[in-house]
Amino acid sequence: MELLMKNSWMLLTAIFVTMASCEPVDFSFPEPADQRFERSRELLAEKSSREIAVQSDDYSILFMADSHAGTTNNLDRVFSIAMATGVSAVCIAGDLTSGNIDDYQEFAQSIPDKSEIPTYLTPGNHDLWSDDGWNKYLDLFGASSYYFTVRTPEASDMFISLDSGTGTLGSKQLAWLEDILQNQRSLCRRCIIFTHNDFLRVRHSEISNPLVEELTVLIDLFTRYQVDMLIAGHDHIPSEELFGITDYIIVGAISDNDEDPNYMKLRVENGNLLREFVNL
Amino acid sequence: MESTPDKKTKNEPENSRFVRSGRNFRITAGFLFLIVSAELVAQPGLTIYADAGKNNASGGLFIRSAAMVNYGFGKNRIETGFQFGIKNAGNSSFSGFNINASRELSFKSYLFHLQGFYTRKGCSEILCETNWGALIDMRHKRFEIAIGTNFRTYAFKSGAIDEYGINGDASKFHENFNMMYSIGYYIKPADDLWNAGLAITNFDSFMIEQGVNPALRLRGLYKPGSQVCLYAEAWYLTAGFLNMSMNFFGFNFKTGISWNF
Repeated sequence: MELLMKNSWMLLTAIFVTMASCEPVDFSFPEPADQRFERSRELLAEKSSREIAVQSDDYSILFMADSHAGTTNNLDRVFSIAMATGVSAVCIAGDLTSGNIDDYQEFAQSIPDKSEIPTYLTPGNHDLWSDDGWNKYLDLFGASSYYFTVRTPEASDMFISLDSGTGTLGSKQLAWLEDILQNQRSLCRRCIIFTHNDFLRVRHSEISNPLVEELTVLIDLFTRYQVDMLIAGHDHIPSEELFGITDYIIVGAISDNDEDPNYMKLRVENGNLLREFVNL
Repeated sequence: MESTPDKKTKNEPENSRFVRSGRNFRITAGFLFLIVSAELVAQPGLTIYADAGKNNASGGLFIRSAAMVNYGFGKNRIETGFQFGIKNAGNSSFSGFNINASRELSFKSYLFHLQGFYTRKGCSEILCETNWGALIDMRHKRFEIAIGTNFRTYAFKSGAIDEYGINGDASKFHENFNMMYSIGYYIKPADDLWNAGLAITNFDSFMIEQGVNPALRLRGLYKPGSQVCLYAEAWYLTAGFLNMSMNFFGFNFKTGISWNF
């Protein structure tokens, strides 16, 4: 090492040889997206398919993000509202915790039993920070890449969870998404994707967005297969942008530390999607 | 029935064509004079490179190539280039175009280049990406620094707008004042026969990434003659870097030749 430091050209040569090897060193931290996806698929293979049956063609789902537990006062309030208003499911788009692995337990205690209200989660970058963050997430909440359907008397609607916690979907999850859209999309009336990272850079910030090359592939897929909505968190500031045929929505943060905590209520009425940002 | 008046007879005197012709001649002659004058000190150049790699969105190995011609006169330089996709690099073989103009500036003992640019990429059959912006770069001893801003537009192509029934207002998405940067260090001074350097950057000739997604670029170059430079680059792309959850995104290798005639 001392020799390398003394001779900067040798150091650069060493880096070049490393980079030029057929499989470059993966500096990913924490677990890379491809590995998380594979674990998700293994876990899902053991479980039955996820379907919610509702009695009417009108139903509602609540979307929120960035609860950043620690404390869960706002989270508990939203679940109370969800149960009181009879929504069909709740989806939380990542950053369930602030990165402390002990907070997972606190968060998990706020999640109502499945019989009370089905809750669907996806991880955010904070959830993966700690050394064992991904494994803990997997143990407590299960897969991060999956889809569920809501079956009404008239039609089925598809909701896809994507794991974008490390800023990219990874090649395997991207291939899976394309496969789902290609083979399942036409069977469903509406298609809604929820994930943590917001895809369109609607304002200046230091938060990660997908790389341009990945984003253009995704926009292409969303258009070809008529994805109606992409619902994300990460930015903490609610926004909506229609680009192509897809509505790119960012829901605000539900964190107790957020000045304007809010969530989004998605109402499906005879197949029409009606969204409402709700301040707590 | 009302007749349509002839524009020339209605709006212009009879001899205006000759006046316009004279003005056009002077403008053309002026341009020719500038070009001929510039020829005396001008230096054209050509850069050709090939680029191969793999990333999370490429669906396997991609191969691209590009050719860029430049023309320098005095402290000014203009350059235009074309990129061609050979494998897994968009749906058309002609995958990118760029043009830029730059001027050399000096402040005390430092030399800068101020550049304005425009880039267009055909991302897929239905989508294209355009960028325009400004960049200022400086080379000082072994350090190379560039900083700039770009305005990006994603736009659906007209065929896609018709096919998918896209509303006109929803056919484009703009990103304003994106940050561009490059910070590099070379192991030898700029005029050495060979050199190698490492840089952190978010842009290349036909690629401008988000500022939050930096790439690592290792460059080696060799000058077999005073006007020729052979170079090779290895790129390592990351995702999620600024959010402390970093993921490998892709890598590519690039090799090319720059030749000033």
